[in-house]
Amino acid sequence: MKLIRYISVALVFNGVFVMLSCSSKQPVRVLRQKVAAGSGVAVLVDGPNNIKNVVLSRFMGSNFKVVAFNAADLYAMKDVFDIRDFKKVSHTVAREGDGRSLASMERTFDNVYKLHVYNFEINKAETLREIRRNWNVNYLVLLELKDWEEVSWGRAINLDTFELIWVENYPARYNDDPVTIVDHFIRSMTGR
Amino acid sequence: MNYKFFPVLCALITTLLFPAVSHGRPVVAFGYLGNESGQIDYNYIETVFPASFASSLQSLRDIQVMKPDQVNAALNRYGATLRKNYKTSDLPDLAEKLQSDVFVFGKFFPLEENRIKIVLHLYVRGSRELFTFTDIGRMETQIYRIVDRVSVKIVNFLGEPSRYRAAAIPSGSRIGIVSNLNGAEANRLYMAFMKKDYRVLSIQSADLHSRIDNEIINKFKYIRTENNSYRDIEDFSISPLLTGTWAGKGHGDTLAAVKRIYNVYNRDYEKKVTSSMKRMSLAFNDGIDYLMFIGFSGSRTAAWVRCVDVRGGDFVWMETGVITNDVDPVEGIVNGLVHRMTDEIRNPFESRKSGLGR
Repeated sequence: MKLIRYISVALVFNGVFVMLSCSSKQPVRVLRQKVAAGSGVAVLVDGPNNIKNVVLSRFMGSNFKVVAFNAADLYAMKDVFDIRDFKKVSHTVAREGDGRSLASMERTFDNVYKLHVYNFEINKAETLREIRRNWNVNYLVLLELKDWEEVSWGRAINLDTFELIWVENYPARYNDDPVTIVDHFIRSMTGR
Repeated sequence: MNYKFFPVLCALITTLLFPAVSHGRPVVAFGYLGNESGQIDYNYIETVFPASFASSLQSLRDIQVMKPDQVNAALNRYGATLRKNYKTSDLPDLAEKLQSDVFVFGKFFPLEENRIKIVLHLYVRGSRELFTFTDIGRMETQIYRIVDRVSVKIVNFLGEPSRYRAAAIPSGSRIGIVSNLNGAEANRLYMAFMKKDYRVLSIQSADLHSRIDNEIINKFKYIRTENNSYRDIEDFSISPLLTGTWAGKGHGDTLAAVKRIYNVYNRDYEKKVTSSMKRMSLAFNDGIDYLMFIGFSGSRTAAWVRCVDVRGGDFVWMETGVITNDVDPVEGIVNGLVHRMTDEIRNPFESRKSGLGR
């Protein structure tokens, strides 16, 4: 009986997992506004270095003005502090064994962290504005090809309006390689 | 006759009947609406409004209400009286004494041009969470509208799922979204909003990887702005911050720093949020309307949402316990949210009044 129960629980979990993994591998595409050909783009790529070169060369080959840009140019949230650091301070201040006292201190530090997230987004918007103004970049393009054999994804942001204008999740087809995937993304975002 | 299933049948019948026996109608207790004007002429409002809210609520839902005089009588049994104001840390004990599922109290401020500002606090027994919202309306000619509006907000908050919405968030609005989704999954979220004609901004979407995971997003579940808030109850005064002659300078400095951090980031936190929203508006060239926080469960089939009006600086919408059976749960959740956020807020009393008028 127990075994049957375990098997049914496992099957339910498996079903949920399969359902979720299937939905995350479904293709997704929305194009609100075409990325104009010949415009200045900053491309952020997550993937091995050889694939990064492939991406940049395909963009340059499609007549985009590709600006040298690295994700590290935008300061990352993890570079500032980690919310988990605050737990130690909360425990130091709180009365030993008193959960309410601890909760009070943790809430204060949660607020610090939330303000930090607001500031992070404000600073990022200001940095993107600078990139637009000083480097004449029209669009920020993000591509992840780390798991290109499964699903790759991309986004484009119009730096004049800060608006997300293109998103796509692309499950790899039988004959795909990084070059064909990047070419597909370029066609998709330019609406060709 | 086969009696093998008799115990199972008994258990089933007991289970089905038990909730009906143990849970009567929910009890909503109303405290005073404290007069903050300093003018005694307005004192009558302290009990008139809560009594009106109570009657209005009763006409909307099958609930039992306790008006301020009844609440006061109930507290007298404990040698206490109903006060005009309570510290948040007093509420759990108060709700237990009253045996009420919800305790509602607040304050009001008369404004210029015969308007009134009402601030209401709702505490659900056992939740250790406090929901506060503000409503402004005209006295005399529109007093029934204030009562209706406030009652609907209370009913929606007590509903399943729990909801609060100050105004519709129309499609075409420019929204920033912070969620615990990443990469391709986050794209599904953005797509769902973009397909419904919302303009999604570069908040979080400009990151290859976000640090906001299933644990961190829950920090945003509680939200405090100048006029509206949803917070958990905590009381810094119970933190001892022990000191004495044994303590050295280092210890004293640490305590001073902790107090300063508490004052700035907890006691006066709303001011910080207002300032952040102003800076955010500037950073986006005044092109951001709303900032949304959406927390998905691990399976993505359930979610909560909080939304701040960036220009106004106040939190304007929240839903808790949003669920979906959609094959794509992220899109299913967003479709449900979009349907409700665009929907104009209807007044269920209007149809009743027009019906009566015919």
